[in-house]
Amino acid sequence: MTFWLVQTLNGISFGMLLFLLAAGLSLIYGLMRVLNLAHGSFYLLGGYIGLAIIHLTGSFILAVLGASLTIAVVGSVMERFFLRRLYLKELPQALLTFGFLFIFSDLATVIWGRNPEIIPKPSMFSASLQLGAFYYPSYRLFIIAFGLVIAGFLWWLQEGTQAGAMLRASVDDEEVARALGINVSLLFTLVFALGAFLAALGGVMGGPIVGVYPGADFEVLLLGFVVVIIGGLGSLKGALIGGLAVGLLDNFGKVFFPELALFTIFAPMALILAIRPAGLFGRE
Amino acid sequence: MRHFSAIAVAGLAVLGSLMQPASSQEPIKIGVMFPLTGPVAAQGAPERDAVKQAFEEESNTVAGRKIELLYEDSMGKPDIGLTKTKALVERDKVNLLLSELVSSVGAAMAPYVNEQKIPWISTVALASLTRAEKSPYIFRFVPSSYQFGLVAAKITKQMNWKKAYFIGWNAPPSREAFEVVKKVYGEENVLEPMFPNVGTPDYAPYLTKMDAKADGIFAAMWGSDSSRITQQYTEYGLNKKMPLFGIASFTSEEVLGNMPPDAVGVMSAYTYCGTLDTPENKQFVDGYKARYNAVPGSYQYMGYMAAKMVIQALKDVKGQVEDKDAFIAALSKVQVKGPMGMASFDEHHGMVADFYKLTVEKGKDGRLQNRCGERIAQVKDPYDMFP
Repeated sequence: MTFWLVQTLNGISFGMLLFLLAAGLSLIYGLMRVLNLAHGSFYLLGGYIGLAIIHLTGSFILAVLGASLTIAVVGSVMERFFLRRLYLKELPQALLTFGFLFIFSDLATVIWGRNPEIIPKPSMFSASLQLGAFYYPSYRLFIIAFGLVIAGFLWWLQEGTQAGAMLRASVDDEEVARALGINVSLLFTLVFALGAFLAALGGVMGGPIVGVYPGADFEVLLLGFVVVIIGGLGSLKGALIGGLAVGLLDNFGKVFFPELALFTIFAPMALILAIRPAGLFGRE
Repeated sequence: MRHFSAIAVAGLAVLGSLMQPASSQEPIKIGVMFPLTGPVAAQGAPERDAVKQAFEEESNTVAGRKIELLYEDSMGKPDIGLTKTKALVERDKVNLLLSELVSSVGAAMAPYVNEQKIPWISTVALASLTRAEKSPYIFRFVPSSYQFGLVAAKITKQMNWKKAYFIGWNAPPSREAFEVVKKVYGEENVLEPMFPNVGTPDYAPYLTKMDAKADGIFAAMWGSDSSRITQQYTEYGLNKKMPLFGIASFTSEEVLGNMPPDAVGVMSAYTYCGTLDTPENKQFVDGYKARYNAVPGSYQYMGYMAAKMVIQALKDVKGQVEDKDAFIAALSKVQVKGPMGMASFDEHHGMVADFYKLTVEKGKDGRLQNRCGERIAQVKDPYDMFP
């Protein structure tokens, strides 16, 4: 019993990290039709900047805020000065964001070197809880709660605020939204910044579990894509369900078929692509 | 006339005596190639620094001849490593190579080195270079995976382990180490061997499976993964149930900086222990610190020792490195007392050296360090056990 509980919690906590990453990827695509390959860089740079802030100030909360806001600024600059020129041109967009992925990856190596780093956990969550014969790290429970709060917040933002209504209107029909006086260009920049913010948040929050290291940008990008393919591009609900699904699949896959670790993620993905090409919650 | 010929004879004699040492006054050229940029630069550059240190300790002069080190950067890539090696041999005419730690680069260099018949002392992990593809020209000062697997199995057996879990990368070194552990322990005593991928972000699913009674866990993964699995091992309370025993450089000095504070008590067995109290190690560590302001780890040790072996062999042949056969014969039977004790090469030119049990502890400055435990003297690659 505890075995299943622990494994399920593991899967959900990893899934929440994936949700943070995929939510931005999905939002950006849903609104702007931009497949942002540099999204993995936002995650990695967020982790490194968070680590630098922790070394400087010792505060985890400052690290989370500082890193996410910095990356949000980086993201909005990238959107405003580069991506905007290539609006709806898919191939140039892909190449541009791919280029950014490499530039950021090398930049991170130049600044922070190649040694793997682990972000220290906030002292509040450094202990483990005892569940019967098992111990469970309280930080992972915190990640689950945090992920749910973020999901709730995004939901509210999208469904319950005027900005959300403008966003949904622009997703549905951008031209009419413009005609109605919605500043779609500003919305693009803000959504891109929000996506970058969420990815960096994932980088700092995930830092105490998986660490920050060269190559993490490519690894999480791959997982992020699997999540949005399963959940459906452009859907927040899809990002959450997809994230949890991939987190659980990955975890139980490793437990029961340790040698087939990646297969247990990619096989369901291929299956979903075959049956529902737009993903579980995606729209055609 | 007689006078003149006497002067001529004297002159010739002087000339001759000048010419004799002149040839041996020419510097000995050594090609030193390591990955200085790219993914393995964090290991390659410090190792190159340690090679440099070893020659500086001899004032860059061995047996009366100047030593000239020619540096190249392989970038950890086989094609580039091979090209740079060719440049060292054909353009710079080096006398020998003291190069490389990346297996794929080593595999690319081996056929060329054999064709050129140039002595090559490496720290390439690729064990086949001193096994199936052994060659008179290739020497390796680095343990093979069978060698460090054997040491881990032996030391834990001395600690009375009977049953253990095994988790390692799905890669040749950890698979080979597992074969040795399985042979020493018996297949039924190694519980649920698991081989996740290199760079697995989260080891928790594997660790939480380990709920049977066992004497400990063997872990064979390196770099960022060894600090990650250690952290997750303590987070899930496994440290309260059974000890973690890392294979090879699992707790090496370069990863200790990233280990969580709870790593105290994690063990491993390897060929270098930073805190070992010998005059040779003091000279090595202090010299490295003074030069580069960092604590050396196992990569630096192997580079330093490879250079020491070369230096001693050059002394044994009185600097006559041009006589290749004599130099190779000298290298084959060279004995060096290094920071960790006596070291030599075996009949396949693999390394023979002392290994130590390492236990992570908190040092006086609050940082993690290795405590040196039992020594296993003169460990040789078990060729007879795993041909």
